[in-house]
Amino acid sequence: MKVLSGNKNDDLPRRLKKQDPAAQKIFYDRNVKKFLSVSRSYISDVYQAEDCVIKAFCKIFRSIESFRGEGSLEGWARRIVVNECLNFIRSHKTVFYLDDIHPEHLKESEEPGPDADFDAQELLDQLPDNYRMVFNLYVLEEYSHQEIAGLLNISVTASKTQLFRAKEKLRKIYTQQQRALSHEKS
Amino acid sequence: MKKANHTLSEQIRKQIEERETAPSRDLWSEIQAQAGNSRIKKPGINRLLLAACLILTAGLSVILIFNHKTASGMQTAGTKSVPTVLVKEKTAVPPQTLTDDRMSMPQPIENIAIKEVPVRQETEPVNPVDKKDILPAAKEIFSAATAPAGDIVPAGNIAQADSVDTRKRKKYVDPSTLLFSVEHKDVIEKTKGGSNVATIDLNTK
Repeated sequence: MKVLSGNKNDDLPRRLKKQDPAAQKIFYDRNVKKFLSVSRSYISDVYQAEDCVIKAFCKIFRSIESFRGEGSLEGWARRIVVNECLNFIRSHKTVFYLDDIHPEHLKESEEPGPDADFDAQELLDQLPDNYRMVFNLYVLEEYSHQEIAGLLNISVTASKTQLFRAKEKLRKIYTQQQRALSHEKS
Repeated sequence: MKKANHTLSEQIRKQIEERETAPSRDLWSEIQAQAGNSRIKKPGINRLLLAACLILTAGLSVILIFNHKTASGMQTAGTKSVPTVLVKEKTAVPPQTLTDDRMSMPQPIENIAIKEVPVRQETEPVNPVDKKDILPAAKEIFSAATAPAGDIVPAGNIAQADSVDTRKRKKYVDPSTLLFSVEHKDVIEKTKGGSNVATIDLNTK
């Protein structure tokens, strides 16, 4: 059973390259939820996030020939989803990266992690687009600041500054939420 | 280097990685529709381009052929009408008396004949039947060209005469004709009407 499923996995990119509709459906069913979650972390509006996923899937099926099989198919497809989201934000919103802080001042406060349960999406939705993009690329996609700078066409310092500010903002929002919750309880 | 501790950003990362969001609508049908559209659109564009190219080339070729035909038609018309007049004039004109008015107008036509006749001889031999057919019209042109300003000339003749005039202006400038009156001062005599008259024998010249 394990061997069979392994063969099927290896077979999927080949079938996708042949534009096999059944293979495309299998690939969609496997990844749509994950990709929509990724898209939602960049775009707060659900409908727009879904539009991005649709475009990304179309792009994946169209440009499957360029997949050389060096990494996993899912990883390659995920990058397409992320790029589609970034393109959407760039084309639909004006994003400013205004302030550059000197690297010496970019020292994160050593606060303990959150104890209580919280909704990460709720926190991310409250971040401005510029902070959110850099935060997601650095924390979720594990890109380096150099890569982020190249992707967003900004300087490395600007990328570091946006990440610093994003983390500060998230901490602020989180503490505010916790205070509100404790007030409600008391 | 990233800190792998349980900070807030690490918690967020864990939550997002583990999360799966179900779509609120049927995304698969939309993907299929978009993929289908892109598949159908490509050959459609090609066909449209092909059709446009065909129409364009056909139109251009028709215009070119039409232009070529009209241009060649105008050329043959010019060579047919003008030389016959001139040949006729040349043969028919005995030593004649020219008034001042005539001296300025018909002489260029005579000179055109000298230029145009060889062309005609190359292309087609002189046909006596054609001559008869064309002769009256040619005479009309000649009379229209030499007619005084006050005379009424038919519209068709005016158009033909105009075309002859433009040819004259463009093709021929003979300084000898301009100097005619200077060269033959002794031949010019004044008539009773007050106009200058020169009597010359063209054949002897």
